[in-house]
Amino acid sequence: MTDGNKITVLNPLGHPPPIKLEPMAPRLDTLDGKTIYVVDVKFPASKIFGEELIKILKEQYPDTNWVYREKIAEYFEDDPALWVEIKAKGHGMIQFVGH
Amino acid sequence: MTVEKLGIPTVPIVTSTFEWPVKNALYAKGMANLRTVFVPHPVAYRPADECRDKILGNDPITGKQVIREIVEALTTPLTEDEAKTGFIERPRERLIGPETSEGLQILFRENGWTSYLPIVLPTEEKVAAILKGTHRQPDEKVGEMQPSSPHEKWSYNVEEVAVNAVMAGAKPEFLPVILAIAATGVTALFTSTNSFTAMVCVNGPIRREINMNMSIGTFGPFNHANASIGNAWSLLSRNLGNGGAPGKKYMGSQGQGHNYTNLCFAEREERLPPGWNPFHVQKGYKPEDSAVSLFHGWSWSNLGGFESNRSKFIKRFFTYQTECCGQTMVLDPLTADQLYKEGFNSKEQLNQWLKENVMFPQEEYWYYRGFQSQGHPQEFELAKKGIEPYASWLKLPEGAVIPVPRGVDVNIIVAGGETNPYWQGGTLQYLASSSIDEWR
Amino acid sequence: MGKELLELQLMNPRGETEPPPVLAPNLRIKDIAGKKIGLYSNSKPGMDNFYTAIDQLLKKRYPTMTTSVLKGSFEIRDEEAKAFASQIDAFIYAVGD
Repeated sequence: MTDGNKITVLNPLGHPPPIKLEPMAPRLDTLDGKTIYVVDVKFPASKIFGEELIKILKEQYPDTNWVYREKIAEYFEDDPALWVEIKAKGHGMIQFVGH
Repeated sequence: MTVEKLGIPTVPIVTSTFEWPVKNALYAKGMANLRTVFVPHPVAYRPADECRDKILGNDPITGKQVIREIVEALTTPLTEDEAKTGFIERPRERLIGPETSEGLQILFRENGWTSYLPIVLPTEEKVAAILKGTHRQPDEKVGEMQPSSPHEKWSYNVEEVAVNAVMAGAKPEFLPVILAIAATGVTALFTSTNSFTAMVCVNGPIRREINMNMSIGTFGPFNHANASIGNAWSLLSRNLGNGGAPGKKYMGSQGQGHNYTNLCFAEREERLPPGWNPFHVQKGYKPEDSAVSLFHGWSWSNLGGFESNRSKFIKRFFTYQTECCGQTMVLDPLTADQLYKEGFNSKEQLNQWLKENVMFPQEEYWYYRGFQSQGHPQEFELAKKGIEPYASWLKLPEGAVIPVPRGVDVNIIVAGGETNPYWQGGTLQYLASSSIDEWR
Repeated sequence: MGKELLELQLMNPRGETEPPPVLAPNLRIKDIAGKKIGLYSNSKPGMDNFYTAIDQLLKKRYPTMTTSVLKGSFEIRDEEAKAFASQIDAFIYAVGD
């Protein structure tokens, strides 16, 4: 027996918050003479990837000052002191995550 | 994103498996166009030459050379979209339909709002009926939930929890338990690539009031309250907690069958040995309080036997449980009795003994998951220099145990039907407890 | 406007099963003294200890009684039961776990 009657039900979904659009930072005209931080966010066992990355960057862009840093503690933790340092001393940042 | 907002151009490098979760998270945080470079998955635990090849090779998503893409991400001027400000509102309709019952079952299923089994359709009448199970107002906020950081948190109210409770087939008297679970903000469907098991334990008088199972077939599939409360947790994790979309917000490589109803049960407090407190009392509640406690982790095993020295067997089991995220066991009352006869006069005493006696397997001490850096690198250096006891420990064969306590806390709960002295255990971590009485 | 109640007819989800035969137990022996009692073990751990205890307790009370132990699989097979029955006067079947 089929039910041809139509019913209304309640929406099971929750409330996603409104999205505030965040503009990206202006880009650099060149990497030459600039200080670029290469940050390991500390996902387990990603260090080897980071070491190869910075080796290659130094090989291919020798006029850039590449600075290697490890974020503190676990990969899901913030590191405000590092961001302050990058703002003060850096011109850009590459951040690598593992998995 | 934090550094971008400080005015410094950035480029994240992510493995390709996470393309959708990353893009979704960036969209939700308002920077959908952040120039992300992808490399072939995986990167963790890969040797140097393989990592080098991935860096010198192409982004599997865009096809561009990875190094060139990194540089372009930092130097190419912003587009109009990348520089935009403002807000994107995402309103939500309260009602769905009108549509036939069959059509709604298909709609809910195809939208990924169910566990892919038929649901009880949440009509206004059914939701109004289940709301009689709580004194709280329908529009009262219950909490917020995310499948993991960095996904955005969604918020939800009493009515919306009730909708998911109806879908799970719950009765009004189960609603306070489901609300208490929702109030913790803990998801049953954690994003991770590992397929987490989730568990919910109910304590207090409500167990008997709603006829929960804590005897034969404790973990299922034999009880309405256990099944529908557990299923409701998964549904609300999916629908209210912004979770459960495979490849996007759920990355569990093999999935987890437990997540249909989770390991939902009640502690059999009446059969605790003398001096053993109910789990919620251990967490600071009074015995007459009703509370719910949540757990999750990687592994869960079903164990048992007829050996008389039960504590040694348990110790041996946890010695080799070295994966994420904690340690938990649920003992049949007969097993708890055996341990009590061995001299463990409280859960705390048993936990302390395990903390002092669960040691490291040799391989895990030195090379956790095959990486020396993840083990005990300082002790490894001392061992290579011939310093004892590390030097002798390094010579121990595979399978041996290093006599260093791991200091693991084990959550101990008692439930089961006493048909045999079995128990279940694994690497589940305690996450949160919540008062059920507040939601009655 | 009043809502109509909808009545549904559904298919039975349960399987078919034949009712089991009704069997009467055999006549009881008048006493145990001098009799041979069969003990069937389903080989579960602990059965040996259990039957050792039964054997000792029965012999203490009925010194002229004898026992015969048969060890087998979880359920005694028909031919085993027939052969065993021909040697004994009464039978204890303990189901353990």
